[in-house]
Amino acid sequence: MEGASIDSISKHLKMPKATTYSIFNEVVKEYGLHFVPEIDLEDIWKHEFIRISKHKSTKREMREEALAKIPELGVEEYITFIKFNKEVPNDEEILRALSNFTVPQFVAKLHGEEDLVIYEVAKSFYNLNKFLINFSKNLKDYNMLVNTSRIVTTFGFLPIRNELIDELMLSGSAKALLEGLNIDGRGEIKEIAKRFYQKPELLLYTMERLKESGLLKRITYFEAQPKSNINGIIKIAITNESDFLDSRNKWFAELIKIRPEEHLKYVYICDILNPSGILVFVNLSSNEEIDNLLNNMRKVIKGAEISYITMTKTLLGNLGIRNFDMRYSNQYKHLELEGLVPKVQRKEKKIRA
Amino acid sequence: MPKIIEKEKKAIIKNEMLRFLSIDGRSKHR
Repeated sequence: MEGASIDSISKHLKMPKATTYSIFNEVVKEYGLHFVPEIDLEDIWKHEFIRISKHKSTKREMREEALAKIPELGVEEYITFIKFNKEVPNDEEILRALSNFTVPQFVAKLHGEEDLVIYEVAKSFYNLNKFLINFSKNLKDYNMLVNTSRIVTTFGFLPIRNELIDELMLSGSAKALLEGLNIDGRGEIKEIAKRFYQKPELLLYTMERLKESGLLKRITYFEAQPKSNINGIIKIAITNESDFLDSRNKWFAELIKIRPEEHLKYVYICDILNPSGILVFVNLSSNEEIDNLLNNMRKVIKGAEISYITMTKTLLGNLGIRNFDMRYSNQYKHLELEGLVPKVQRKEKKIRA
Repeated sequence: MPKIIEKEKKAIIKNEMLRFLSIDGRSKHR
């Protein structure tokens, strides 16, 4: 893919460059587009592994160093719901309890059966647990119930924080590039190089390498001023596994083929293990829309209980883009294999040390 | 062209631009 230069956008939209440029600026301003890298979190361990095993001259060296580091390779994603039994702490108290931790990437207040949702990325379950213990200790005056689940598959993404990227065992140039792109995904390489004391040529090479290997999936954006601030989470809790699995693929295929506009409302979808099911983060233009969405879902999805929780305020991080192209999801790949949707051409992944 | 149609057309263009930018929002080699 050539990427979105004004030139290529103008070719794609079949519009003159000057018009394209002015509409581009308008769109960026209107929605507060903030360009960020989408990082393949599942593949981080491979890059870290290659890095720590490189330049190891003896077996002994490899063994000692690798053994010490292997348990910490890669990252895992989690979602935590918190319910306060009596009083709910105020925003400042929650933010204070979160500070100094690199584990939470997105935190929002909820209204309904849960009070708080936290999307976490941690190097190990131990790190996640350490965060959760300290978080609840920091809010020890409040009586709370914590429910955490490992995220298995995702659709869409939530931007991650530079504090977390900094903790990854990637090369200095890879971290500089990813952090620089996280600040401004369309920013010039020479500016990123200057900010992080790197050579621009090295960063360009790193970018090619990370794109080729798939660690840097693409540069996308989140909306700092979204069209609407009506956000929520739909909980799909499985009650009958076989009924559910049958209807699940039908639901995805219908979304893609029959209601392609509907998935634009789905900001982020993830499979969770506890309770076994799916969470769908949605962004809606009106409150009435939620009933339609839930009705559509309940018609197709069988063997599951479907409930809705309103997101009242984002305290940390940002929800991902609202214009996600479903063809780039793992779910789409799965449906492709089953022959339920048209095939899409994709690049092969290459990992170089 | 009546203003209302122009407005609708612009909204379609904006949406297509957003979709395009979400797939790969960066221009190469800068």
